[in-house]
Amino acid sequence: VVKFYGNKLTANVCIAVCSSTNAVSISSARMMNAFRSHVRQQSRLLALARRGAKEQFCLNSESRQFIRNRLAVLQPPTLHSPAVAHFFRISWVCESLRLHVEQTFAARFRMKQWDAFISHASEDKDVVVDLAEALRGAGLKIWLDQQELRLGDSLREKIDEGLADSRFGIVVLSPSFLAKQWPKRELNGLMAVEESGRKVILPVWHKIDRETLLAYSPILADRLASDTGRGIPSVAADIIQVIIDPRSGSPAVESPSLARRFIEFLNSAPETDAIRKFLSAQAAIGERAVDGTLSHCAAQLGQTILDLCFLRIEGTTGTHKWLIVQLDSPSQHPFPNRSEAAASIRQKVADLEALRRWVSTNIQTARETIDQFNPSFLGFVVAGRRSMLAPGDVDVLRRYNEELFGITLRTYDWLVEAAVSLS
Amino acid sequence: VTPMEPETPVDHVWNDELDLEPTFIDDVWLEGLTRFPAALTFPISRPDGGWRQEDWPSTAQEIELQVTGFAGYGASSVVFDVTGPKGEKLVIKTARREWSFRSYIRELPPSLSRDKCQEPDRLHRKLERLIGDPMLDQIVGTYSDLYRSIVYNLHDWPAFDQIKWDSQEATQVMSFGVRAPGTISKLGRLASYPGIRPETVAWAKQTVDLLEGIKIDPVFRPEILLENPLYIWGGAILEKYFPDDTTNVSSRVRSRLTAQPDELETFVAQALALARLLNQFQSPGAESFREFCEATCDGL
Repeated sequence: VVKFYGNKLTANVCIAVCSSTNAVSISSARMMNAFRSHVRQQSRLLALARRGAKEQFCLNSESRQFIRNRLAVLQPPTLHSPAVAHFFRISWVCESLRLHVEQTFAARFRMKQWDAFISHASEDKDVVVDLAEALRGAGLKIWLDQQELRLGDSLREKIDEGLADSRFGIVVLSPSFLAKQWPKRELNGLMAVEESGRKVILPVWHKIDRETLLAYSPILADRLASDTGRGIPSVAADIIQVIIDPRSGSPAVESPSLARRFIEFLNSAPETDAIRKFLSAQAAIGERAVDGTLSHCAAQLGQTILDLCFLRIEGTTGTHKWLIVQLDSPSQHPFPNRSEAAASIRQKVADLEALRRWVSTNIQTARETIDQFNPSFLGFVVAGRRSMLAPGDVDVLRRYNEELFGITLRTYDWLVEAAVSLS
Repeated sequence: VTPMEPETPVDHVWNDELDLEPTFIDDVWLEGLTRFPAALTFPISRPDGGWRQEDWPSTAQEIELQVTGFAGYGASSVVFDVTGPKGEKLVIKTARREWSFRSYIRELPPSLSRDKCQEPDRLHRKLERLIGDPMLDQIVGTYSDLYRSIVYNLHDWPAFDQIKWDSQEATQVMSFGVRAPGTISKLGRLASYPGIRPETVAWAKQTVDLLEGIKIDPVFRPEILLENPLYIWGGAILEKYFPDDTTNVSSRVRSRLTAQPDELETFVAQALALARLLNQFQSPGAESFREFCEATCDGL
C-alpha cells in the first residue's frame, strides 16, 4: 500500500504494510541512511504535488498519473540482509520510521518560503536595497528584514536563521562587513554551509578586492563571487541564474510565484494572443497596473480590437474612466532604429487615436458595445522589455510619450512590476 | 437673443449629466509631473488641512513651490504634494478642469511653471496634431462651457424654429453655434447617457435632427470647425498658453491660414462668430480670444 499525503513530508515515505510480525533488531543509523536517499528521490514529487495543490487546489489528472508512474518504478531502499528487509516490511517499524523522518527532516525538506535572504552589514543598506529590488523585479522572493548584521551578532546564527526559511543566503562581503570582526572560524565556515549536499551561500563582493579578503579568510577569497563593481543589474543577473536553475530546488522553481510565471511566460516569446489570454486569466496583473477592473477582452469598437479594456469608477462622481491596454510583442524592440518607434507600435498608437475620434462621433454606437464608454479613455501600448533599452533609449521613450495624447508606451516590465507587487 | 417664453423648470437629471460629463484627466502624465518648480498665487493648506496664511503674503504674490508628487484627483480637484519655500511639506489643490487640456497635450502652461524657457516649437507641433481632433471641444474648458450653455439654452427655450433673433447677424452666429460639432456631440452624449429619462433622450435626438435641418450661411461650414487653426490655437490661448508671445503665434497661424485659400473665408468667419458667441455667453477669456483672432486676421 502506498500512500501519498499531498504536501506533507509524509509523502516522502512509502509505507509498506506487511502482516509479518518477525522482529529483527537493526541499527537505526543504517535504516536512516537508506531512507535518506529514498526521501531525496521523492522530494521532486513533493514539489510537484505542492505546485499542483497551489495552482489548482488539487492535483490534476496529469500530475496524478505522473506521480503514479514514478511511484511504480521507485524501489524500496535496498537493505543488506533478508532479515533486515523483512523487518522493513513490518508496519510498526514503518510507522515509527515515518515519525522519525518527519521529526528529523521536516525542517530541512519542507518548501522554503523565500528564494534567498540577504545578509549584510547595516552600513551597506543602500546597495542591498537596490539588489533586493532587482531580484524582486525578476519575481524572486527575497527576505531582507532582520538580516542586517550589527556588532555583537553571531554570523552563524544569523545565517542559520535566514536559511530556516530561505533556499539561498546572499552574503554581502564589504569593508563594513569585515569590520564586524567575525571569528575566523565563522568566516571560514561560511562557505562550507550547505544543505543536503547543495551550496546555499552566494557571496557578493562590495567595494572589496581579493587581496583584502585574503587577509581575513582565504576560503572566502577563493570562492567565486559576484562584484557590485560591475553594477547591481549584473550581480542580480548572476544570482537570478543560480536561483532559477531547474535543479536549485528554490521556491522560484518548485512553486513559482505569479510574477515568476509571468516572466517565464514572456521569456518564451509568446504571441500577443497568448499574452492576452494569460492576462485575461490573471486579470489581477493588469488591474494592479492600471488601477481598474478588467471589463472587456478582445472587444471590437469601430475598426479597433481592444486587447484588454479596464474600467475605473471615480469614487466621488461615479463617472467611468476607461483604460485600454494594447499588446505588442515582448520581443519587439520599441525603438529599433533608436529614434522612431517600431512600425507595429506606431500602428497601435494610430489605432487608439482613430478609436478616440470614432467614439467622439459615434458615441451611441460605441455604448451599444461597451456601456458608458467615452472618448476620454487612457490608452497603453505595451511592447518590448526594459532590458532591451540602452540608456539613450530611455530618453527616446520619454520624449515619445511626451508627444502622445492620452496614450503611453510601456514595456512589459510595467506589467511584471504589477505582478511582483501582487506576489 | 430674446427667449420667447419664460424658462421651463430645469431638468435636474439632464443638468447633472452635463455637469458630470467626465473631464479628460491623464493621471499617468500627472504622476510623472514631479519636481517642476511651480509659481502659484493662492492660499496654501498643510496636508492636515490647517491654514497657515499668516506665513504667506496677504496679497496675491507668486510663491515658489516644488511639486514633489501627484497626490490624486477627485470630482473637482487635482492635488499635488509640494515643498514650500522653507522646505515645508504641503499640498496644493487645483481645479480639475484646468488640467484637462494641459494633461491631454502633456504641456504645462507658462503661468504655472517658473521654467519660462519652454519649447514653443514642441507646443506648436502638438497643436498642429490637434487639428481635426474632436476632443478639443471637450478639453478646452471655455469651449466645453460654451457648448454646454448652448445646449442648456436650447433645452430651456421653446422649439428652435420658434426662436426669434434680434438681428440677422445674431441669427447667423447662433445658427453656427447650434450646428457646431461640439454642440451636436454634447447632444449625442446626452442621448446615450445611462439613467437619463426617456423623454430627455427623445428631446436630444429630436433636437439633433432639427438642428441638422436648419439653414445656415454656407460661409460658416461648421463641419470643418475642427480644422480651423484659429479654433485650435485660440483654444491654447484660452488655456493660457503663449501669454507673452501672441504676435509670433498670430503670425504663425496667419501663414497656416493663407496656405489654405479655399477655406480662408470660412475660417475667419467661424473665428469671428465664435468670438461673438463667447462674448454673448460671457465666457472667461472671450476678450483674449477676440484679440488673438483680430490680430491674426488683420489684413487677410
